[in-house]
Amino acid sequence: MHILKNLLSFLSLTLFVACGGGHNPDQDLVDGVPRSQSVGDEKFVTVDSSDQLEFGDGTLSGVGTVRFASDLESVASNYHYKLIFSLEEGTELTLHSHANADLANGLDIRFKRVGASLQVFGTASGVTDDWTSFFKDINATQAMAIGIDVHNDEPITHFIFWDNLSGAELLDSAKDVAGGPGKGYGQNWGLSLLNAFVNKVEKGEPRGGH
Amino acid sequence: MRAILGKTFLTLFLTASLSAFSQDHGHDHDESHLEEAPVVLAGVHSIEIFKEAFEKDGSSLGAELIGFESKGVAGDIEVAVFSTSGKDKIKSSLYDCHLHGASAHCDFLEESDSKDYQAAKGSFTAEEFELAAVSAVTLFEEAIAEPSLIQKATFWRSYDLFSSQANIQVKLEWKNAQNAVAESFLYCHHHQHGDGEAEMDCHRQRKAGPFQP
Repeated sequence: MHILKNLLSFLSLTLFVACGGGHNPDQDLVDGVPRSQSVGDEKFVTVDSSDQLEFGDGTLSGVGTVRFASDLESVASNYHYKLIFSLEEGTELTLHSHANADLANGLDIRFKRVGASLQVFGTASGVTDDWTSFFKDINATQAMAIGIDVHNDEPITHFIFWDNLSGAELLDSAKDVAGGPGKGYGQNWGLSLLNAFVNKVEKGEPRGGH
Repeated sequence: MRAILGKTFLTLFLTASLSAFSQDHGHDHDESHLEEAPVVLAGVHSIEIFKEAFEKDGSSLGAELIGFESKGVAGDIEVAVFSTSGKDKIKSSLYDCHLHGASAHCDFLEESDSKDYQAAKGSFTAEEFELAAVSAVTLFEEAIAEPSLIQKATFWRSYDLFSSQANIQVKLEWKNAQNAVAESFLYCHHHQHGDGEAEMDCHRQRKAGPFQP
């Protein structure tokens, strides 16, 4: 009996150590974020003050910056993002990709509504490219659905954009312009809102073939 | 007479070889684009000739091949094929070319002295340089200007530390609408299609990449 008790204790201790010794910190973060703090299926944490952000029903709006809990696999990686969002006059939405935990030192894609037009800028390493002319067919007065490939595992990071309402490819920065503004050096992604309304955001495998 | 027949055979052989090689590679590479850029076509032909000469004693051309620079000079096209020449050295093999449609006749002129040069890792075959040339000229025509405007073309092997990938860098000098010399920069890398076929895929960039000879 005494031996059996010791054996059970030993097995319990072994199991405890085994279960506690390995864990995925990334999954811990995702699991630790309440479901109410998400846009679609993507959970987020706030990067700065969240006083002016509204969320809880699967959408995100207002003013503030969020970093998504599920980070990118590696710095040298490629992803496809789907954004469904609306902008009032003069308001902005920025997608951050391949950035550090503060969403700096990465790739910033900024959308700004001016009248019925959508202005689009790409920034990296202090360099900003104006891609607005490629979005002239977008009606910024209604909800927009934009697909974005970010290819950050190549000598020159490049971007491909689609209008997911019409299905049209809008811009391939590796072809239509001289590449991109620079590279991203982190594994985080997120959004900065300046009175924008985000219905949905998704991250997945790259859609473009090159 | 024998010399004329020999040179004609070499010219025809090179034309046929380039055509057959491209057709073997699944995806449709429009070689006619190279004809529209004589300077680039001459560079590709010169690399083939260089390879023939290099391998005539049974050697296999590999990482020795660095690239080429081709430019129009007074109606002719001069091509310098770059290759390694010992440790951390590079030399140029110079050719004078005349083009007739898709065929070319290139005469070897001379070999330059070696100079210091740190070569990039990796290697690309003569065929891969041709694939890169086709993709580069296609992209140039789609996005920049008419290939016939290209006056000088430089292709060279490079390596990117961030992505740990070898690539072929391209610099094209061409006459723009204002009759000024413009420069366009590309890089080309291996791209695997879903069906397993590979090609050299080219992208535009703002400036020349590293390891330019």
